[in-house]
Amino acid sequence: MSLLKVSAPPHISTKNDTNVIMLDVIIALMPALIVGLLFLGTEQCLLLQLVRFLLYWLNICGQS
Amino acid sequence: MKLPTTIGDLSAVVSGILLGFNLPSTAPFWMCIAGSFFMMIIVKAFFGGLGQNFINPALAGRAFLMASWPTRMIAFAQPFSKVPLISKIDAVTSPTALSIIKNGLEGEVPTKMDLFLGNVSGCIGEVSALALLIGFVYLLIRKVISWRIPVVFIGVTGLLSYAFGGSEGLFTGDFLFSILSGSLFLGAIFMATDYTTSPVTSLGQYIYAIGCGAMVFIIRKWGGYPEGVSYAIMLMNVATPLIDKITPPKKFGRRKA
Amino acid sequence: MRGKTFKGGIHPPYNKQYSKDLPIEVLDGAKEMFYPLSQHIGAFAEPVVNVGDKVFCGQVIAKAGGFVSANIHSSVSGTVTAIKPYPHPNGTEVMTIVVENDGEYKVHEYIKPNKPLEQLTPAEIVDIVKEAGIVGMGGATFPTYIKLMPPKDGAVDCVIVNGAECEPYLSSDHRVLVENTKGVLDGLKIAMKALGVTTGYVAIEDNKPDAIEIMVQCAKEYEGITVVPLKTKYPQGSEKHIIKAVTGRTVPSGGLPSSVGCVVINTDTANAINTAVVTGMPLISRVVTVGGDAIENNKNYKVRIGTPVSFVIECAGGFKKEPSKIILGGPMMGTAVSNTDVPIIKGTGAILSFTDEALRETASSKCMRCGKCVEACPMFLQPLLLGAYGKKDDIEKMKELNVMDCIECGACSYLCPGHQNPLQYIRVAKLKIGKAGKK
Repeated sequence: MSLLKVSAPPHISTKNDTNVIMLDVIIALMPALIVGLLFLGTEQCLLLQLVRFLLYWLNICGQS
Repeated sequence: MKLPTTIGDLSAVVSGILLGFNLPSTAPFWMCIAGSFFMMIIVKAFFGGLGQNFINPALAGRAFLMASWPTRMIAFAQPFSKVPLISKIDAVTSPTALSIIKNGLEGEVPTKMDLFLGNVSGCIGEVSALALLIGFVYLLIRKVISWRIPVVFIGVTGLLSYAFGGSEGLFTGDFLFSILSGSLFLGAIFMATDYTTSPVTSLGQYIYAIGCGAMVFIIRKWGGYPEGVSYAIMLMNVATPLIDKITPPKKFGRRKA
Repeated sequence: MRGKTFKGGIHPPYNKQYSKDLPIEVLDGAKEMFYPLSQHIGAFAEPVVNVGDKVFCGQVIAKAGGFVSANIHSSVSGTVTAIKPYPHPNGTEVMTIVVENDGEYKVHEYIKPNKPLEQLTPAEIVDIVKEAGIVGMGGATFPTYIKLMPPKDGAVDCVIVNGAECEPYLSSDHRVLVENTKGVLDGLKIAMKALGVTTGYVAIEDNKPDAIEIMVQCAKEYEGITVVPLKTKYPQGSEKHIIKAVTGRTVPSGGLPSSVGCVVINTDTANAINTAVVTGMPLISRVVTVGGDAIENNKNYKVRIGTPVSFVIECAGGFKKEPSKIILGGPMMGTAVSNTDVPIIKGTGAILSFTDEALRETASSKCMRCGKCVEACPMFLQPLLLGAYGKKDDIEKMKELNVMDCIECGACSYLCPGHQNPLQYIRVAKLKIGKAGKK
């Protein structure tokens, strides 16, 4: 038997991590996004993609 | 200091979508870049990243863009008009319902059903109250947020508008119109409930939401802008540390100090 | 009927289905038994046997070393082979009496049934419980006889048997409630007599409907005993919260349950009280749940105290997967051990072994002030602030935020989406404050 881990309790934790919560918020935003795009023009989809892509990079630059 | 990247937590994506929601669909892409830069670097990263910013990043980004390019920020496209990707401000834009009323602009005030379904002009995210409500229900089912802030916020705005917003004296205001128009649903459901910038205790959340609702009404009624949701939330964001301080939970088995 | 409960708390996955329907099996046969001199809160017991002595089942091998302390008895017959420092479940080495089991389980001649309950005085009952070395078997291991001595102002008016068993995976109390219903009820009756009260409650979480049903049936024959179904929620089994749920009374900060007129005893403890009074046999065995995803077979064993954990695991078929953690007690409040040589002691309710996948250890990110910990904290503290001040080692601020009221249930750390583990900082602060207080 390999070495056993020892740590302070609690030994279990929820699966609801930060990213799961954020993913839920993103899912919740989807209906509004779809309606917005349908009513105001699907071209905006590209624009939103661009924003998201840039945010990824800005976040990397901003944090490290 | 080297900090680990926090890309995986997806909070930047949420902020990004919310900023996008707060822009008119005619906004050129460089405005998005400028807005996201301000939001992520100045508002979020400079203050320590996730959980450390004192105002909602997406709203701060919007305020920054509002101050920098005010005319472009209110160039709302009419629903079902084609907008080219990189556009100039042109004839397809139309004022929002609130600015029609506020500034006496020419244009037809949309019906409540249009406001509810989204057949109006406005920011990308604020057009359809129905779609936002679907998102709200999902968040409630998943227990991501509690009902407190959105319901109280929207309720207070509606009640104040109903009581004091009418032109023919007390209690002649239009409750439904006041809550369906503008970005109230977007703000109350997705912006005001931002964990980082809202109070943690339930009592604090009530105070915060009442403050938000009252502030929206005040700005709409007497302020210079037709729409006050984003500024109302930002003001209450700044008040959050104070609210947290005065509303600690009552300790189990401890009398009020 | 909706179960009573308290405000706050969490709903972790309970995972009781693996062992809740398995009858208790008696487990004997370990070659060597280990009796640490500290199996309870308070002073160490003092050994009264020497190396080479012959001992029998139920014989006192160490005497209580103070007011808050408890006797320790041999759970087998055999020979004392050593009194030496030995690994203890708490992670340190503690002086331990080692007895070689001769396998005959001869009972000490001293052990004989007591007078019937009707003839016993409260003082005699307290004495029997004290001699039997009975401690709180839910994990806190506070000597039970102290609880059974009526406080001087005589304010206690009810006794609650804690059958909540709110920790995930655990089913030992559940099995005792179902299989030894009368024993628990008799134990409660004895405790009520010792304290001179006429009201007794058996509080059971409503995820154990079979236990509630059989308890309600049997309790009809007992005067003054009511079965109270509780809502299934963690930490419902906390002393303060079970009192809140059952009686609606709030134990004041820093106060004992007796300050609101309540005494709470664990299910297995009630059973042990009954055994001690009726048969005279002291506390030498307890029910232990064996579970977790790394173990071959889930079990509910009646184990002699002092049995090494490794022997119990072996009897349950060993491991089917490589365990990464072995926990004595529940996954929320139990202790992880580095060594399976440690013995089962009076407060050990379970042996759980988990693989890495089941524990799903995650790196901590950041607190985003979601407030979930504030909502869940059953003591209405603000774990997010306690954690933040803990990181800065600002003990004074933590004191202001009532860190000493924390019951260390771990709901905050369980729930935190950023895995901040506020409890860890709270425990450190409590230790530091406790040490500073002693100086």
